[in-house]
Amino acid sequence: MSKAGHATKVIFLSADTFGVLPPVSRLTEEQTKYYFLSGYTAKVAGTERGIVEPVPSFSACFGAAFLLVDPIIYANELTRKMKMHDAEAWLINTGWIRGPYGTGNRIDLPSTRRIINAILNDSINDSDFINLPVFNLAVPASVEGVASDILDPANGWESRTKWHIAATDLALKFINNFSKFTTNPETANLVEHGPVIS
Amino acid sequence: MMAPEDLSVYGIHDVAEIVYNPDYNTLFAEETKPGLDKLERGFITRTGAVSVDTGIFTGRSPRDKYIVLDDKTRDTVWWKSEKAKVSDNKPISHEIWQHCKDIAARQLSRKRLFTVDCFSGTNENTRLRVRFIMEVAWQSHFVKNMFIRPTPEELKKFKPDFVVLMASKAVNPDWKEQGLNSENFIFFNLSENMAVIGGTWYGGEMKKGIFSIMNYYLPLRGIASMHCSANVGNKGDVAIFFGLSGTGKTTLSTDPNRALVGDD
Repeated sequence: MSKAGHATKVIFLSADTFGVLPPVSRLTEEQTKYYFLSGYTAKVAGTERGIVEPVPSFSACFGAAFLLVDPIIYANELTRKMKMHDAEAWLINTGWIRGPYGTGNRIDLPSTRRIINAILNDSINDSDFINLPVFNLAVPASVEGVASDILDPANGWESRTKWHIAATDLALKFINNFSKFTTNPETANLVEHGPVIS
Repeated sequence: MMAPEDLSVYGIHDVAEIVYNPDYNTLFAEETKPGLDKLERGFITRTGAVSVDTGIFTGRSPRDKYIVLDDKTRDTVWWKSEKAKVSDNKPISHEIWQHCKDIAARQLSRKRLFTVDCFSGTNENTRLRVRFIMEVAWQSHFVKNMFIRPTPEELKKFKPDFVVLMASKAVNPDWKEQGLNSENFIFFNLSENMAVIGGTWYGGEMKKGIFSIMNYYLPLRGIASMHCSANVGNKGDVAIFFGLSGTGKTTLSTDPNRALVGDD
């Protein structure tokens, strides 16, 4: 099979080694554009001898090397089609929870699969949603079969303050990356829909 | 079918023979025949598949990728600039394009060539008809696998929308004076609807090159092109998965209860 209908679920996967992003969050239309244009994941890399730490990686539209026209054009086409077909977008962290690489652990695959199943069968929308500070993401309070204490990422950290400091640090990286291609005003206007540092 | 003189429009002359859209038996014989150079030769693995060595080119060479700056591309392409540092689209003049196109065409002239006509894109209304021309058999095997193979009926009336000259054995000796990155070249010309590739043996350069071309034409026609995997449930409900490498795109779009539409 290589042909199918229009997508109704759009899923962005990020393996966040900073352990900041929630395992799952629902995106608004503007956030969909912002996170699509950011194309974020993180890896771990050696910075000094013997020290390995998280390093962010951004690639516009999750494939910057293959974009021939301005990234906003792809983002607009994607969200235009999503509106036409009543599609939802979700941001999923397949990376670290309960702290960054070295402190926390990578989320287990069965939990991520249950999250994706809940998205695909719509049951995730039955949950209440809380607003995650800094990133302003809508995070479900519960997902069937998933330990609810991991859904709010700050919960699992040593303290909420430590999460907040790490979140602010990651937010800065998003903001800095976004400034590298906000060549047109439409893209620049999306900045406020990304993470905000107060 | 295609006659040698049909290639003169691309600047390729005195072609000895054209092996047109070879079948797999022909390809297998061609890529394993005795006397081929190291990078031309296919090795038969334990499973019977053919493997090749692409030398030092084990991935794409993005720094050698350029697009011709002209009236068509000036205001449509997302060019690399101070303000768009993450763009990978660097401009070259028409003169430099012509220079390297001649190098590639000269390399392919007087040779026995493989040409593959195929489609990029499943949708019949928007697919790109692509013609690949090369002297290395396994490279034609690569594109035969990667792209959609036309039916014999479709081949009869095949008129390419885009042509790729793959000349791995040719390099550009004047790259320094021309301000380029290296002797290798991966050039795209959106007015001539052509790409010329020289120096690199990496097959994926052809695949991702055409993907980039699709990413030019489709959004301008109101079609959302994207780099993702996709699956579909038994009610026809489709999900698409975006993510950089290592994020679980392949793992999570592989679902026993859903059919895979495509991955990357």
